Amino acid sequence: MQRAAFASKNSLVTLLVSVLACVFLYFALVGSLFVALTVIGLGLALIVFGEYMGKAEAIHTAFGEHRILGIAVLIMFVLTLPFLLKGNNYLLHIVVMGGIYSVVALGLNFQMGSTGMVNFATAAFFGTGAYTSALLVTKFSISPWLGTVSGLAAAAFLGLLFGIPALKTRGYYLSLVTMALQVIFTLMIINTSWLGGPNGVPGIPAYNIAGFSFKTSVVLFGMKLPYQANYYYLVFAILGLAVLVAGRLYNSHVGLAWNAIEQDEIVAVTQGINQTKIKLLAFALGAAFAGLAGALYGHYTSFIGVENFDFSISLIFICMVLLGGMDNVLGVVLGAMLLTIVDEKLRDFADYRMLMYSLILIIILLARSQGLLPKRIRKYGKLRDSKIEPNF
Amino acid sequence: MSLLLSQVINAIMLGSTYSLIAIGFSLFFGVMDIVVFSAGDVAIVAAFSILVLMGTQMLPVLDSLLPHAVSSVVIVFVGAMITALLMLLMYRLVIKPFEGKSPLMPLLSTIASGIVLRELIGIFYPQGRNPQAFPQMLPSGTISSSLMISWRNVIIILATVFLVALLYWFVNKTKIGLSIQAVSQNREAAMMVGLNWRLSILVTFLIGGFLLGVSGFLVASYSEVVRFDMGSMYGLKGFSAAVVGGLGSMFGGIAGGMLIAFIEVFVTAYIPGGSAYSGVAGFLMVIVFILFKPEGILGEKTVEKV
Amino acid sequence: MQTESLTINFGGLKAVDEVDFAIADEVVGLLGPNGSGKTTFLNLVSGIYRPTSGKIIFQQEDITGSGAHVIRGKGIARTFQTNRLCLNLSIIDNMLLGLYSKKKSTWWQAILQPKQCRKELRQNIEKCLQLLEHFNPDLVDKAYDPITSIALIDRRRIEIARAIVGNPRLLLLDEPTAGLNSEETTQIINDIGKIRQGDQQICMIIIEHDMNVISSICNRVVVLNAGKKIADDTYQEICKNEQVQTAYLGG
Repeated sequence: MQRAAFASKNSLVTLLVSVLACVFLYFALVGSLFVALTVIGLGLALIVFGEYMGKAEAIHTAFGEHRILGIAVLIMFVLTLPFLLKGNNYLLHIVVMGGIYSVVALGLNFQMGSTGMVNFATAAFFGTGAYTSALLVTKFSISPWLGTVSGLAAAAFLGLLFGIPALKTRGYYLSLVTMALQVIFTLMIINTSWLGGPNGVPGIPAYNIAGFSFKTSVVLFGMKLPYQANYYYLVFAILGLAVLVAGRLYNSHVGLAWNAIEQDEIVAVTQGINQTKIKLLAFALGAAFAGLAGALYGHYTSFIGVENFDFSISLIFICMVLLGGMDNVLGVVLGAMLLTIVDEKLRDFADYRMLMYSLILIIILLARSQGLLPKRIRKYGKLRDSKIEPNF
Repeated sequence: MSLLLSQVINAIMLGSTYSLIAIGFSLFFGVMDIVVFSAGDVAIVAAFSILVLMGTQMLPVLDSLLPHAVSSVVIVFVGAMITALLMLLMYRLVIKPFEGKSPLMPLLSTIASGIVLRELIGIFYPQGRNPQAFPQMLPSGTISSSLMISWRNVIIILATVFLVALLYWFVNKTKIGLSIQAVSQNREAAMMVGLNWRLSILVTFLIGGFLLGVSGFLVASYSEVVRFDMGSMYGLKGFSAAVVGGLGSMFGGIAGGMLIAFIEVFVTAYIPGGSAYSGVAGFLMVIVFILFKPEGILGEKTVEKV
Repeated sequence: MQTESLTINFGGLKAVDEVDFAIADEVVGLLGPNGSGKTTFLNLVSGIYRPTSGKIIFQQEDITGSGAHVIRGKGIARTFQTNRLCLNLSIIDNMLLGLYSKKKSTWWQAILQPKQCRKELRQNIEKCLQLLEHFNPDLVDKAYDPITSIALIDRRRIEIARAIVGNPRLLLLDEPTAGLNSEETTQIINDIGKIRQGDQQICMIIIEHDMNVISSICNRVVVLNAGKKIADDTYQEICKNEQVQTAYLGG
């Protein structure tokens, strides 16, 4: 009797928290800059208050028990958002960008959050995906879908290449190498006219399925939605997949090995972890995520220029992971979404944009370096399962 | 022949500007074990401060009292003092709070504070986002027109040599300088023998800031224009020079700065279309160094403790 | 396992100098004054350092110069002098790391999560918990607690458990009783004794300063001084050995 009551209380908590999170995100999205910042501040205050009261662990447990419910609420929110926004194309654009950046941030998290390798070349991976797909499609007129897959593969390959320094160096030296690689990437693009040089690559075709171009608006359930809605559903399907993959990696031996490397490399290798393989995996997988997102970005905006992939963009990705919470999959997505929203709201104050970004970064570092949703102890559900025989 | 010589002099000049900032990086790394990534932007703040000072009535007033050369030095000195104080402020705001925490945090906080400085210039300096002509404060005449050696070249190089010598004297011959060395080598031991390590750190940041200020003036004089965002590239090159030479080593900073400058200048001069790729070549060399000789040219090789 | 004239140089200093060593189904104590190269010897055997010259042979196979992860995979596990657990991770995560070398799932199986991958994880968890229970039943209920909240003796136990959970053939223990009081030392020694009882085939090399520990659990003692092996005998004989006495007293 009491067990049932307890269970239903936890499901209620899950429902309440996930609905609240969606409501907060919605108001942060539709409100003005002031409203958005207030909502984010309020959300942060709630999180801190929850932790202070010791409720954070309970909420976490509740979510663990009723994962399906929480996910269902989120999926419902994602599916209905274009209708809630009444087909407003600007707001949809913000969310699409948020989704794209979330995928990149999830990839960076493998290196930075899980393995402790701060990588300043994420924008180069993002750019590799975008340029590979855009150039293949515009110059050799292959299908944008195929181009996207090539972009992903090219970025993963570059990730492997950029990961090699990480095998020999760490800390500041690794940071400097990734910075140098990022700068080299930017310089190469600017100075190579075949890659579009400083003018970028215009006229990147949109995706299409069986003749239906993603650039056309659709009517769904009696509401006319702008073309951004097509991309919205595509990007969020991919984001869902990315979250699934990242979450599974986190909970598997791979995530554990990454954490062990972050904590103590010597201990990690004496436990049988192949450092070379696991570090390169973090780079290649992270770059693949970024490359996929980059290709999506190119086909969505139809124009890419080198300024979308320079050092400052890498820094923004780092901010996203840091703000959301290192090595916390949901946190990273939240961080990416919030920073994208704030960034778009700051567009009216374009002159102050980088200033605001840097100040936000400094404030997070000073006030809450663990991010909005801090790293947690990995849970494997109920540990003792009487049915399972140990395998000696 | 004279083309080659003028390229060499050009490279030495550029190398001097890189050396100074590299030594700044090494100083900070020595006492705090952190990389102050805002160093480039701090240097550019000095250049803009001097630009502002030149626009005021300060120069005519000084000129009426002192010879012109001396009043120019006074202005550069004031500009460098401003950055020295700025460096202290940065230490207090974005470096000290992260002592003993993950090195990632001061790394990011100094990068971010560098951007803050850069953006503040862009926003508040009139037309701040456009390149600004930097006044020629150094005499422009040539010593030997056949060799194309101008006073400007000589002064930039001599100023660097003078500053390095002064720093060397300070670090090795004065009490506070020696205590800075002690803190760099082993902070716990320095604390135990009663050295005021906190003061040593503050003095290091003051001196380092001053050095960065002068380097900002020199780099602005070298390129004759200043841009608000020049600091990011300048800082990256300076840090690269410090690493190539051996992070923590003073003469290593000079060696690294010269090496990077020579590569850049010679790639630009002798490889067709090379100017576009001079930066690429410099950074490629940095990567090669980090991978194959991470202790740098003059740094000490450390055996990793297990 | 045996080594043949194993040597490593650190910039002119011979930290381990031409050491011939052999171990077969026994517990060997490694003694020597501070700086005599004991820990360096373990670092060589476990693959953290590459030897300058000499050979390491394990189960008739030359493993000289193999990476530390390869050596662990072949069945040599170790603990560290200064307790080195991953402090941010929970007890169970630290234990699972000990089974990493045994895992069969690949990284793409971690993404696709086929049934056997999930089954392997459950089995591994159960195995870790049973071993923990063997050492200290309290730890099972605390399996999700971070290491930072655990007492030193339990950390030692967890580190030893992490080393043996993958059933290694050779266990290297670097001062398992360092920093413990006499009561805790006795407990740890009992625990180590239990390992031998539970798995007759496991051999151990133990670095230890406490002579009581050495005399109670070691079949044989090897003494190093300044990187060289100076004695290799039973404990009783070692005590009488003059060279050993001068190394400790006169060194």
